[in-house]
Amino acid sequence: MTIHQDIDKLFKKGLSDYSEKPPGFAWDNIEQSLNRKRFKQRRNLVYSLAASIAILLSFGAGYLLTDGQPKNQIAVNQNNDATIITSKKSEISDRDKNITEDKNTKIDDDKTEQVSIQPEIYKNNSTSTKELKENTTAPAEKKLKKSNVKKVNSSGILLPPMFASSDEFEKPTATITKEQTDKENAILNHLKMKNFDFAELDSKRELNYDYRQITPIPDYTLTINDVKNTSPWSVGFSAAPLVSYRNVSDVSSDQVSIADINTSYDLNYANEKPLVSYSAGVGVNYKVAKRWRIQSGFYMSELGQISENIALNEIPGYAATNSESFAINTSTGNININGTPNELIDRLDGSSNNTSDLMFAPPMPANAYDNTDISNSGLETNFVQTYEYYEVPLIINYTFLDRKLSMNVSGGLSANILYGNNIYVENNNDRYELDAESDNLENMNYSGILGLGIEYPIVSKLKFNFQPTLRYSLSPINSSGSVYPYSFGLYTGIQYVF
Amino acid sequence: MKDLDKIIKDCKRNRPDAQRKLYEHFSGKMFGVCLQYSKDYTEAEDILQDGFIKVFTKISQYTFKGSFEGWVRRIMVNCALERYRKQNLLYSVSNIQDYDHKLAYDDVLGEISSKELLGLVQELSPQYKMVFNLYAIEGYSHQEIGDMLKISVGTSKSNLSRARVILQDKVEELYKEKEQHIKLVVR
Repeated sequence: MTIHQDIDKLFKKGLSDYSEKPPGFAWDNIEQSLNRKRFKQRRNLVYSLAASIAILLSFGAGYLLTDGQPKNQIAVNQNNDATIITSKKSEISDRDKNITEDKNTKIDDDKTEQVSIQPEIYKNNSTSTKELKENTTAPAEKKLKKSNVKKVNSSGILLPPMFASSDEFEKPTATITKEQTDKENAILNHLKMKNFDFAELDSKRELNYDYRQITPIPDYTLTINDVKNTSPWSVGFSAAPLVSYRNVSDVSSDQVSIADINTSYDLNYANEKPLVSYSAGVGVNYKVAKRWRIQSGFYMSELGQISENIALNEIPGYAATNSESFAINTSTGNININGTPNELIDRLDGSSNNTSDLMFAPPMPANAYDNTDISNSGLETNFVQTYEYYEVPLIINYTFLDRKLSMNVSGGLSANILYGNNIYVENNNDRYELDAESDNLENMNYSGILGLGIEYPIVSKLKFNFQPTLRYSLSPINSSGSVYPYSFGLYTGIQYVF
Repeated sequence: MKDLDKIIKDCKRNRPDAQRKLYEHFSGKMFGVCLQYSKDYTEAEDILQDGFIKVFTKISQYTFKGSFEGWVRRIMVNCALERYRKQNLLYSVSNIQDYDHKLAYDDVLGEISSKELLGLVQELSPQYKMVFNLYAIEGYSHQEIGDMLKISVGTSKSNLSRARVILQDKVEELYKEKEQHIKLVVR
């Protein structure tokens, strides 16, 4: 036995059974790291679920928005849905097919159909790593699922990523130069400063523990590209002037009509006009992919309409004096007003009027006055109805122009909760509120959202955004189901990116 | 060992209590391995933590073929290797630092000689330590070591023989001192 072999043996023997208890904090650190990973996995799963639901919902909403009348629309869209969905599927498989054709990969045919991918990094073919590096505009669904796929190979031993490309075999095993290691160290220090998680970095390198396979130093540049400086979250405030109006569908009216008036006037409420109102609120954005964001938030909006030319009629015998409230008929139903018409008139023209047989009514056809004793007093006024909602939207946003001034398009749904309803009388640009409420309003309302936006960065983490948005009700605002409000607003706001 | 198999299966299911048991079972030995590859306790603790985190996150890759302890050990060695690569400039043999000859020796003989041996290995400069450990303890060939550390086979061989010479000297010194100490005590 040579001295050398003796030494080897001595140390091997001496150290083989050596055991020493590590300090207590070692386990604590390990446990903490594992918990963080566990939490991240769960959170990513929840977000990917939410994203998938939001995508589905926004597509659904988009189809429903193609026509003006929701009631008629539903029948029409049942046919359209089928064709649209299948064309989407063929789009997806076409995309996959393109990749197959372009890159000459050996992907099985049945695998082409799957949109949830095995991470391409593990496919043993010559162009996969190149494809990964070049593929900066990956299709949205692929990118989304890729980031949430746990990096587990379903079929056996992994090859380290460096060996997935045949190019790597051709490279000579060069010794690392000083510049390269300096560069490496600089990158590492930079990452350390950003509290980069090396365990996560290591998991991307996929070391193989069959010791016969050698792991070379990883390509840090590939990983660096994945590290973003900004967080995916941003919060913003925006406000908009709105123009709000509504669609009234032809419904045989069960609406309470004005008592005792036999009118044959059209109930199309042509005297109702759009209302200029507002919306404001706070939004939260989460970036799920390079150009895709999910938005939600909380907004307060006012919708409504103006009923113009509500005329005051005198009807002998109409016992309005003793009643403590009266009604005005509008498309959504009746506005019930506390008080008597007398009181309202007194307020309006400042005179006291003793006539008790007064009634407010929407404009009546001329012949309505012929057969009765109704006479138009000549007094007309406008009634404004407003409905106030808390809105909680869920929107998918796609940035189609990604420059300094970026443009995006968004679609989604919103759940709206009615919290307020006000009635005003508007006369000569003066408005005063009445002790009144609209009848038959639904508390919940759902609307589809479609918007086109522009974003421009201001200072370091702030962005300005301007987004004209159309909101269209998918559910009626009133219980008889005839009125669907919509609004168009110019949302302007500021976002803060974390 | 059936118990160990069950613990491993539970760890594959990401169960915290199983993970803790696995750690308690192997941490002593693995800490010994980590110490071998480090110059001090801090470094060894870091390698141990990184190693076990890797063990738990990659436990799905262990398919019950081969010794589990061996699998865990290889992960520890790999962590040590990574750390070494990150921290050391490998391009010049002449850049090896001088080391101190300070030996911290115990008065107590016997079993603690393992600890002393460990101490001697720890004192080696990083490149010698790495090559010696990988060759003499883990059993890799010079070709494999060259690939792992990005050095030539020749460098690996020369580092190994230098490491052996240093260790030989130190062991002899240590035994000499111990012998003298024994002589003093016995008298």
